[in-house]
Amino acid sequence: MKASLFFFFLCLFGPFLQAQEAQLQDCVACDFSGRHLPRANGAGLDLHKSMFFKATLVGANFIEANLAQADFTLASLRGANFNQANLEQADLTQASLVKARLIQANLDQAQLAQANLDEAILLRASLQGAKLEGASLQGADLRDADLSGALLFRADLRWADLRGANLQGAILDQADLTGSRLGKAQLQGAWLSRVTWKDVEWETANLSGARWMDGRLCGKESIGVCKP
Amino acid sequence: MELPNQESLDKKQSIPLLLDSVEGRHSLIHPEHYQKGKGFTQQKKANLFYLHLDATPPRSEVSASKGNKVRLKNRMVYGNPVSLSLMGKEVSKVRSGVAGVYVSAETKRYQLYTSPFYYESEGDYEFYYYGVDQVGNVEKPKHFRFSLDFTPPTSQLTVLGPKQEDTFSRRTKIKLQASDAVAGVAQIHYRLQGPTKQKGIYRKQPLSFAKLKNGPYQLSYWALDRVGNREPTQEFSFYLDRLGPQVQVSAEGPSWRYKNKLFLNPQSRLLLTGVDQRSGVERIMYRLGRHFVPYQGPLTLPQQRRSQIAYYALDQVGNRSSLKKLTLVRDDSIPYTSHVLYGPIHREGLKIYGSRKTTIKLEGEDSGSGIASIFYQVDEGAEEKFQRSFNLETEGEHVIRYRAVDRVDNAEATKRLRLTIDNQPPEIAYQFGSPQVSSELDKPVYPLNTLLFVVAVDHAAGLNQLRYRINNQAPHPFSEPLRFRRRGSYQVTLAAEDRVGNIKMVQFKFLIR
Repeated sequence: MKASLFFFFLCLFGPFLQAQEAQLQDCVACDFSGRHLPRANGAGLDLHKSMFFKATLVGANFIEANLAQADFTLASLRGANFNQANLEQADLTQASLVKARLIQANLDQAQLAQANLDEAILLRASLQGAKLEGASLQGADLRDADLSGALLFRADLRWADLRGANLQGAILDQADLTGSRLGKAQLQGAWLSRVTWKDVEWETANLSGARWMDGRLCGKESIGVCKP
Repeated sequence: MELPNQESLDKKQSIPLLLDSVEGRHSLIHPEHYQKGKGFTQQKKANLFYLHLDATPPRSEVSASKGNKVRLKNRMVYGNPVSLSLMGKEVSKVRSGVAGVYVSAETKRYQLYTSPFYYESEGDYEFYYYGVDQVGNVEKPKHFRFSLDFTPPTSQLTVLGPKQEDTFSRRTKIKLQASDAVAGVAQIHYRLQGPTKQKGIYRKQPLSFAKLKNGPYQLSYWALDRVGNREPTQEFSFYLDRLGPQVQVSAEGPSWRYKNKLFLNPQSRLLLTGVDQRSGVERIMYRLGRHFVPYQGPLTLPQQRRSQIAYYALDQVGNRSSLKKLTLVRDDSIPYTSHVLYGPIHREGLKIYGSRKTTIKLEGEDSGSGIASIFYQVDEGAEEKFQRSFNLETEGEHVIRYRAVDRVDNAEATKRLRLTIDNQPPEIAYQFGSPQVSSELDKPVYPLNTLLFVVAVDHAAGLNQLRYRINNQAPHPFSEPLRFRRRGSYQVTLAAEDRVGNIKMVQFKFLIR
């Protein structure tokens, strides 16, 4: 009986015990899929093309790490720190990045479909061409982030802070912008069709050339308002 | 002339023989041949004398040459120059023969008539005459009076009954009278020319025009006396007016007549105007209540909505127009106009959208006299009379003001129709969710699972539907971005239609790799 109880607890807590503050090494195209690596330290490492499929990396440190083309599909990255990390073309589909820190991170062309980025900090992050389809970015800090050409189709941007963000050419079709802040955001050429936009603060947003919610094209000098 | 004295005759005869017996033939016989109780026994011509006792004077007569004449009570009247002859004639059984006829004319002494008298000057004449026979019987002088009458009679025309100058009515009659101082009037002839022709001898009854037709006539007439003198024809023209005046009902103010109804604006007054082609109208009578009263000026309409007026007129010669009745309708109803839009329209709140295919029709109703005109004005353009449905071509919002006026000038307050004309099809925009990765055969290439975002917008009426068709599949309404999960070549056709039927189509090709 005692033996069986021990085995149960081992299975339950074993991974935690095993990955306590794991120190990662440079490893290109390594496979960490399914690994339980909370608070793992990968800061400054080169881990590009590595696999973190369903890996648990809660609170992990990837500051300045090279994670280009890495696969974080379904990975748990809650509270992880990716400040200044290179996540270009990384696949973060359905990854949980709640409260993750991605300050000045490079997420160009990254796949973030249905990723959870609630309250994540993406200050000055680059998300050019990133795929954020269905991603949740509630309360995310995207100030001065570069989201040009990003796909934000059906993204949940409620209460997100997008002040100064570059959303030129971004596709925000059906995105929920309720309560978001878009002051001085660059939305030239952005696709804003069918967005939900209650209480949006965009008095100073540049909407010139944007495809407005009703489908019309905003004229030049559309600052804060879509002019014909 | 003196008759022979009896005494002088007696002295010449040795044996006076008084013959005072019966006039006739008597025989004178010697007494020897007479036997008392036997009478005359023998008669011999030598001893038999016949004595004719003639005690009757002759009878003289006047005879005239042929010609027109008439015997009056105390004289003869000749109508042309006449030659009078005297002739004596024995009237007794014993005719000793007329010795001569003595005549005394012009208060002169008797003279033996020798040749006819010839008279050629008009005037009155008379002479005395008598005859004497061979045995001294002297006719009692006779008196012969005669006149030569070459003067025609003169006739006069008198018009009886109603007339106005030379215009007569059917009740007017003409009486002709003629007089001749000498021979007397024989006949008056007349001839009537005009719509109805008549001629004849005037009788005692005046000429009646009761059966003549209406129109101008000329009556010619002349009289003839009993000795053939004919009056020069006289002419008399007149116009027989059998027609009553025409009464026209009109209004001082707006009115409209339809059949036997006259619709009038409440402010209008009714006018009755009589027109008679000849004699003129004498008076117009009308009845708005119970009794006929003379028309004296414009009439104010009764207060009730419907009333009836009856009226007629009389002309100056008594012709009366037929009694006419007219229903008067006091029309104070305001017309009502509405607009009807045919073709593509879209209502959004109070705003109405249409296109150049939208037809605007204005329809009016009026419960009284009916709609006379509907006027409309597009924006600030001139007001026009609505005649047929119209369309507006120019893009944008227009204000159409319209109002109706009925046939008695009751005007409707101007109404407005705001119509926004949208001739522009929706605008279609599309955007691929992924950037183009390459190009093949002039077609852009996009990665697998690329989303195609499509939006259509219409700047006026709004979008009705957006449909898409991929390759040759059936078209579907667009609702969500299209995701291309299979590699291949695609041709996408997008069609957007706005709410007023304007359609925009976009077609493009690309490859998914």
